[in-house]
Amino acid sequence: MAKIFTIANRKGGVGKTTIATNLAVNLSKKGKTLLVDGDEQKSAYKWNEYRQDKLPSIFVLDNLIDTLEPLNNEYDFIVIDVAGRDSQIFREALLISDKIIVPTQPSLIDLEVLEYVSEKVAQAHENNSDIQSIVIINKAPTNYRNSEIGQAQAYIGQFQNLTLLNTIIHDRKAFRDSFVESLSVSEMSDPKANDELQQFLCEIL
Amino acid sequence: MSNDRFLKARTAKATTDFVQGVNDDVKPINQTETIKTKNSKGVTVEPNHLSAKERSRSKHGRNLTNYLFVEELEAIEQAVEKLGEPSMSNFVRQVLLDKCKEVLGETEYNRITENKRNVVKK
Repeated sequence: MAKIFTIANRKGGVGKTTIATNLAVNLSKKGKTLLVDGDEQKSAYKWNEYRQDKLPSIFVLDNLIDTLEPLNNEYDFIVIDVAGRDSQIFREALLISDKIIVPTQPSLIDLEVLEYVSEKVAQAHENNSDIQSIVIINKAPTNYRNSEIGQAQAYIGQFQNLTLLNTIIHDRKAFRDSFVESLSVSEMSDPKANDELQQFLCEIL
Repeated sequence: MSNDRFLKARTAKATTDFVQGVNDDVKPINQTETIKTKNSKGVTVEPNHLSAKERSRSKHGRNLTNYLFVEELEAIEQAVEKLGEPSMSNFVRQVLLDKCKEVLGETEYNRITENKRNVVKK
């Protein structure tokens, strides 16, 4: 039976696909992993198509529950990347996931949508009581004097049903470059980016 | 995570509005339009903001009247009975819509049927 991770947020541009692809590559070293792209833009699916070491991947725009049920026992991990908006795929993913990972940038405009995400997670919990919702601060400024991160942590801490990870993924060129090259940062030579990714993996597994 | 999560998810999808209630915090904008019917009467419609549970074909939809010879209706009734369909209306609607999908193609059919609107009763 697969462990299902959904990477979602109602806000676009927060790095969902980058997190999803990096997560899928690293989980594939631990067990058979399926990458599911649920976004019309197909970014994750195309990223995988250009990889030399391809992951099993599918593109799904509707009936996610029916599509994944027969694959549930075939894989150890399923990573679902959904579009940066509310959608039926997002709602279906909430009903079957073990963990929903919500990447957010630490800016006010990004944090504002967490209230909606929190509300949907609470509703999904009525039918999927095992779901765990995790927030990861992503694309954080690398300038240590920036106070945004601390303020964001305090704000996210107010949501009782969202668990904020200690890991902070900073806005590093390595993440952007790795995506362009259809790689994970763990397959590149940026130790800082890789350390952040490994810390993230330790926290969610 | 329990083994029956997919069963639970399917049940939740079928029996609650959770999956259909996308963007349910967005307040509806009331934009009505008038559709001219074949007999030149106007029907006022508005975009659908009702949940699947609240929306009813008889309360919010339009009707299609089609006269049949006695024997034609009997043939339909017998086919419905043979298939064990619970309702003749459901059968007629589904057969017609399946044919429309075939004629129009799936993309065009979906484009039309995704534009959900309801009749405004005066």
